[in-house]
Amino acid sequence: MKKEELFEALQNIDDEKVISARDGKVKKKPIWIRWAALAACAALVIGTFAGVRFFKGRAGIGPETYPGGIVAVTAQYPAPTAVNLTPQKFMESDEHWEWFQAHREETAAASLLRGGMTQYYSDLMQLMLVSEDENTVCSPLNVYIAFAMLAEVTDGDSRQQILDMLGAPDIASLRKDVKALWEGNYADTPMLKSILANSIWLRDGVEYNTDTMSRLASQYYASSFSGVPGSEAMDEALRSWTDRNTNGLLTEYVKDMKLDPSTVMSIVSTIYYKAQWVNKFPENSTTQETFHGTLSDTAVDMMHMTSMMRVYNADQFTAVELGLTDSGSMFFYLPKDGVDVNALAEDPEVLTAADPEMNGNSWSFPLVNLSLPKFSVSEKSDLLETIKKLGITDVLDPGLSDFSPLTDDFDELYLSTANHAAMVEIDENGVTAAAYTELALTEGAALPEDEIDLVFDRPFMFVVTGQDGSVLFSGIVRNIAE
Amino acid sequence: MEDAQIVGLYWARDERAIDESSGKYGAYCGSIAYNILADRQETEECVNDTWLGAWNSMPPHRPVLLAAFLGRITRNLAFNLYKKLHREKRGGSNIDLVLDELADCVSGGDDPANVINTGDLTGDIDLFLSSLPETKQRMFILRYWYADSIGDIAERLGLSENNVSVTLNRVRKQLRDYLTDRGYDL
Repeated sequence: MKKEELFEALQNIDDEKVISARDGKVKKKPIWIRWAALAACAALVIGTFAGVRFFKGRAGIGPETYPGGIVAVTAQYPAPTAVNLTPQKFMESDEHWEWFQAHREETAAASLLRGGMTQYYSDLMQLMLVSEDENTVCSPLNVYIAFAMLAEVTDGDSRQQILDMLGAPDIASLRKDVKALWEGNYADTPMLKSILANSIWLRDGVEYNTDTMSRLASQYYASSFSGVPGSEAMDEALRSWTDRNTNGLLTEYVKDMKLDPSTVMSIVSTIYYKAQWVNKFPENSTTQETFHGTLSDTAVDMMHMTSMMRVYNADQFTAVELGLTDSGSMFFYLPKDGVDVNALAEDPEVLTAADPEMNGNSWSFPLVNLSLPKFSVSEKSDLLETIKKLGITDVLDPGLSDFSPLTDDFDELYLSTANHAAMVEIDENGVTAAAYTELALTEGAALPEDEIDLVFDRPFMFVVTGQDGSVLFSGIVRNIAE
Repeated sequence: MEDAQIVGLYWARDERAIDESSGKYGAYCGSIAYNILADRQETEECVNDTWLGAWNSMPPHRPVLLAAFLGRITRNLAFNLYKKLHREKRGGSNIDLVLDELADCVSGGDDPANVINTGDLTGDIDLFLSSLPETKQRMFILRYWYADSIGDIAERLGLSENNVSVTLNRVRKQLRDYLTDRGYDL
């Protein structure tokens, strides 16, 4: 072999090695502060605070305050990146490059999980997005994380049913997956907000399993709050924490949140997401046009863009992909003539189209005259019926449930509340979205009868993915208010 | 402008793609070409041809790391030009030294029986590089991918020139042994 041939053989070595050789920066990974002995910690500070103030390193939010009587132990999230830069300046700065490099490693780890989660995504979307005249929206990732926490406080068949729903082979791999998903999807930069948070709400005087509590704090970054469920102070703290971590986008639902006095533990998981289109819609091109909803025709703000775009052609729909800066993409699915939009919620090809690894031959790159209405959809759903259909039964039954990893203080505990609220809004600049999932465990013998029918419907469907391919939000828009 | 947007312009057949590439990566590609060609005019031609090459390869390609993608086009063009122009006149430029160093790893023979699938070879070199500590890996790539001078590498890595030379010498021997162990007849 000749030396020239060796020089040429080097041509195609790995891109990242080539870049990092010249770039030469030491990758900075976000610092995740892990804690231990959370319950013990909480016990120590009981009674020493009249009102508790905690500082969390988040941009522009200021100190967090909770009413007296609540003991809060706040999880430490990574500090935001480049707080003082505008999005434009940030994109041009070295800080962006460093962040991007570190973030890409984490999303790569998380994207390996995608295969295992497809069945869960598809089952959940089928149950949560099908409907008649209502708009439907949910955050599959958010529900996943909340139920993973529920799996931690259960054992036996109760836990197995949750693992089965989430598509996790065992609790150890679920823990690993959640950590990778969390770190792969957590971003707080001037350009992208994808902020996840977890909390647990505990009752004063109950003896909780210390190992389980520390695991929720360390593996799930859960802040913990103890107080008297049913008290105004505790409800106020619950609403304030949830409102804050969904950036006030779900206030219409959050204002009704409260804990029943019989609550032994409540899990609340949140996501706040804000990303910009890679290619923004020109604002002066937006026109008033008619949207033919299932209920009536309405006048809406229709955004327009003409560009080469990735278009996916399936039997039941045509989909277009719009990239989101530093994140994943938002996919819009228009049903073909004669296809009901509900059919899309059940079509596995919807997720195939949204999977960055499975591009196949169905994608083309034509010039597209895109007209897309601005919209804001939100929904609160009761998850109890949905999870029953996904095989979760034991935690709903005080006689069958096994909450031994949580506490030994009660014989009969059951999951009495499972609420999910989500909203997604798009405009010329990008996407804003938020969601929370609330799972409350109460003592007692009666199963709640209030089960909401979760079947909905409308003219197009959407899916928002993170950089790792996780389904952050999905929904179907059938009607848009004027 | 962001890489993804520039790639978008190429895909949209929008000529601003070239201005944007040139503004953002002109100096980067220029440094690669100059290391190989050691001639300003040839470097300039080579960099201009890089944008043309990029125009012709996007679509179908949609590179994630645009810098590496463009740098690779430049490196390829520059080396082809080098082989065409410099077959006779030798000496002095970085690339001549770089190639002489690489000669340590190969026999220099031209036996068609020894023709190697370069896809596998590249993959094996990649594995070899992954096994190196970060500084050695960077040093190797700066020298044999970018054809940077020993002085530039020493400065970039905060090491002495002697240290860089000696380390590269060792890494080349490791590479030769590594490849020989894997059955390459070099």
